[in-house]
Amino acid sequence: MASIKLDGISKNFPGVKALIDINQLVETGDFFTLLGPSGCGKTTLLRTIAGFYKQDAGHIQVSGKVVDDIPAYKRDTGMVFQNYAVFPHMTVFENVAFGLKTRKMDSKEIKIKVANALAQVHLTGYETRTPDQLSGGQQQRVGLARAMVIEPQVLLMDEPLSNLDAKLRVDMRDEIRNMQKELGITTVYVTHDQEEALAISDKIAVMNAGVIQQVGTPWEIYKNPINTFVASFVGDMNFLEGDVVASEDDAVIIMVNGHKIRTADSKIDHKTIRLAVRPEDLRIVKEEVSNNEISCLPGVIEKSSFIGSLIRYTVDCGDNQKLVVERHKPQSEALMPNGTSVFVEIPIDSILNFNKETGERL
Amino acid sequence: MSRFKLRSTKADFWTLVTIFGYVIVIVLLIYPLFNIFKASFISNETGAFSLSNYKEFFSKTYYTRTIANTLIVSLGGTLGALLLGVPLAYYTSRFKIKGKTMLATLAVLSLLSPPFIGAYSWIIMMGNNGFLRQFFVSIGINMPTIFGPFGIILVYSLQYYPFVFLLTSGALTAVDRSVEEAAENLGASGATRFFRVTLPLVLPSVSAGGLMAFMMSLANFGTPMIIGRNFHVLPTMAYNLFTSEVGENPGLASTVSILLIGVSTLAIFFQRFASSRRKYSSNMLNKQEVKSLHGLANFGAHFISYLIVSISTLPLAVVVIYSFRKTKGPVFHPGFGIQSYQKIFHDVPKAISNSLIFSVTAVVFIVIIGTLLGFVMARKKNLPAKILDPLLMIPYIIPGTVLGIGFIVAFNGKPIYLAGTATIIIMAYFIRRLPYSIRSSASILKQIDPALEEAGINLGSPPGRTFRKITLPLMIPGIISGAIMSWVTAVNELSSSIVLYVGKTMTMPVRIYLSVLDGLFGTASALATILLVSTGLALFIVNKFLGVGKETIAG
Repeated sequence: MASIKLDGISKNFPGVKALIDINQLVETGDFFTLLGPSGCGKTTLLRTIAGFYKQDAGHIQVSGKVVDDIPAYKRDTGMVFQNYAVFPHMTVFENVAFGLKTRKMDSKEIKIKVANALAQVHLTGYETRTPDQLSGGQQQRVGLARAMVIEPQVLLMDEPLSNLDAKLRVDMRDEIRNMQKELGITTVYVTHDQEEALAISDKIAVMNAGVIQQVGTPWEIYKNPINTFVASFVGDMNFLEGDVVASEDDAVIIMVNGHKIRTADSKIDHKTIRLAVRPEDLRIVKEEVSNNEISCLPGVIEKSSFIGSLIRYTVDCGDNQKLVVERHKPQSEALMPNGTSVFVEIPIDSILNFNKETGERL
Repeated sequence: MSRFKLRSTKADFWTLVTIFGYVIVIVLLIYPLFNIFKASFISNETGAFSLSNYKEFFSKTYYTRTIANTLIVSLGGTLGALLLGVPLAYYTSRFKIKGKTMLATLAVLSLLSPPFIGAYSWIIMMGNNGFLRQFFVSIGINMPTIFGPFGIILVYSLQYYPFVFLLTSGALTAVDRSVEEAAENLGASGATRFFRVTLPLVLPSVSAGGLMAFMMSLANFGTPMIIGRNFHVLPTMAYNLFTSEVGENPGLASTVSILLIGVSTLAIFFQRFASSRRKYSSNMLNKQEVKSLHGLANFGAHFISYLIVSISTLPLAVVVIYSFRKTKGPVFHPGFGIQSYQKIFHDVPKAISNSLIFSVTAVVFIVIIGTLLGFVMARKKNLPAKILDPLLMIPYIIPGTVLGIGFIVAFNGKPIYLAGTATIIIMAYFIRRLPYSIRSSASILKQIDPALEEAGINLGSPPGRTFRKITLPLMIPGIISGAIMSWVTAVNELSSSIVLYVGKTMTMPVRIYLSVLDGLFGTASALATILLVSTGLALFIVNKFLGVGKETIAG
């Protein structure tokens, strides 16, 4: 078991700064996820930890030992690949045994270890199959068993579930999570799927343009995003822009489209700010009710989609400002036709304030 | 009723094509082969049916030795081709090698130039008075001459390694990068990774390249004829027995031909058996990264790559240079001049125009019929099409000399008299190259999604029109590059034309071969240069404008 320390890691590709001064500690036993859009540098960082890329600057430590000059085949990391990368000319058994054989392990011991690993991924009985006789999910289990059986210091996973279908993805996600907790193995996991990241991780690092934007628990990342990038990338988010017009006690008044919205005063010294609020925190009502806790914005229902557990409305509040509102456990009376004039209730404690220019949280 | 009619008209055209395919197979392959087979059982003395030819062949060491000889030079050439082709493929596909495209082009050029030109060029360099040999002698090293089995093996290796190189490069590029990274991640580095993961994955392609080299070596006629001296192989033996002025023996020649076909058939089955494991393909390929090497490793990779290609291109360069040397009659003089070219345009313009006319005519037929039959092979799943497919591949296993003998035996009497005509040579070009054309257009078609044709039909276009408006335009680049490749092989063809030609149907390769035998090296060099330049030009056109070709060569 091991911790990973990234100390000022930078990596350039021709014309692109893939990683810019990454400093991060991944603690022993953590399930640590790198989350971000494609091209954000998350896979580059993972492959740098694995030793497939050499960073241009900075140091990587595993368990306090600098591994910068250790080649990939000696780094003792187990990697699970996006496209499985099972050896097509070997059986399931040979695939899983490969790493043990290169470590010159005794063949009896190899048999036992491979059997255990295959049992763990529910592939007992598949030993003699070849990869082309396996489904995508089974191939990925082979990839997982193959990486874990060598008992590496750290497990690295590069979007291991992205090629699987939706149902299987959720099942495998839980299995990976359980197995990781059971073995307590330090894991770095790369994904672009924010839901997957929230569900599986101890900690998430949200990346964009080669920079880690925010690190935190799934709860912190979702509830307390530090900038508009994180706020919009993780979960759905509504943004509203308005001018600060007055200050009252511990709140400020923002004019959005000629309507007043109260938000917490966080030492706002800008004239214009950006407000953010999650769809599940909003409520659609027929009558305007405004007080110290709740502001109301009038609008017209533009469209609605019913997806079983909830209805999602898009409300046009004029001047190109639209709000997405979710109504959970919908009853039949909640159905409202498009064009209905309504009010959207915005609770003061659900609003996040951001600097309009920099996107930083206020 | 009307429904039935609609169905039958739809099937009509492709049914006709299939029937025509059978006619071609029967007339141009089965009938001549059957005639050779029959002739091999006809006694030369009595003219009666007997096993005497086979008895004679197997009772005399003089004959049986040719089987061993053939296997020695073919296996030697194959081994050499593998030893040159695999490293070159590895270095150029995995590492940054400067001038990589040029290396590949030169390799292909040396592959497509006729091997007997290479053989003849090696005589200039390493014959008794060869300039390279003289150079070594002058510094005290007594090099052996090029004549004999080792020379043949050398020429084969340098001639056919590009098959291995092209197929292996393709396979190496197609190996999923993640698979190799997985091996490295699990602790397997360098050599272990190469031998345990990379090599097994590309082995089917390596062995396919080796088989091509073996089949070509097996069928080669010009090289052993020119530098073999008294070292005989099956094709030269068959030719000698068939044509020699003293003791002509078509029966025994046929027996040798049948044995030659037997050996090549066995070779094909052996390779199929050896690489019977499935091919590995991934639909989620992570592309290979081309790495930069540094220091000594970088120098080594460049040195080996350039050395291999230089040595294989050297004979071609020598031929071109010698074509511009001053000559007086058959003798070279110091200095440069264009006498050789004046001489060939004066003496043998007919050979040049014949080569051009025969090859272009053959290519027109190859393209039309090859494309249509390719469509049948790729898209029609009915039984007649399935049976036709392997039948059309028969030319793969018939050496040119044997086909030539078969054509003479079959078409020199009732009901067809064709010996000595241009038609018989064009027919030989046609049938020898047809399978390659069918294979390449079928493989182009397999890359065209049938959904495109379905979309056309769904939008109201009938099948025939859909083929013309949608499928054919998508196939055109592949067809053109295939046509140029066919032309290159046809214009360089020696082994069947040498059997089929008469004075008025002389072609360039035949003229070169005869000039070399007569010691007219100037004439041979000038003609060979014309062939090389047109081959190079054709290759350039394919590469430059169509961006395909390597696949077509490798079949």
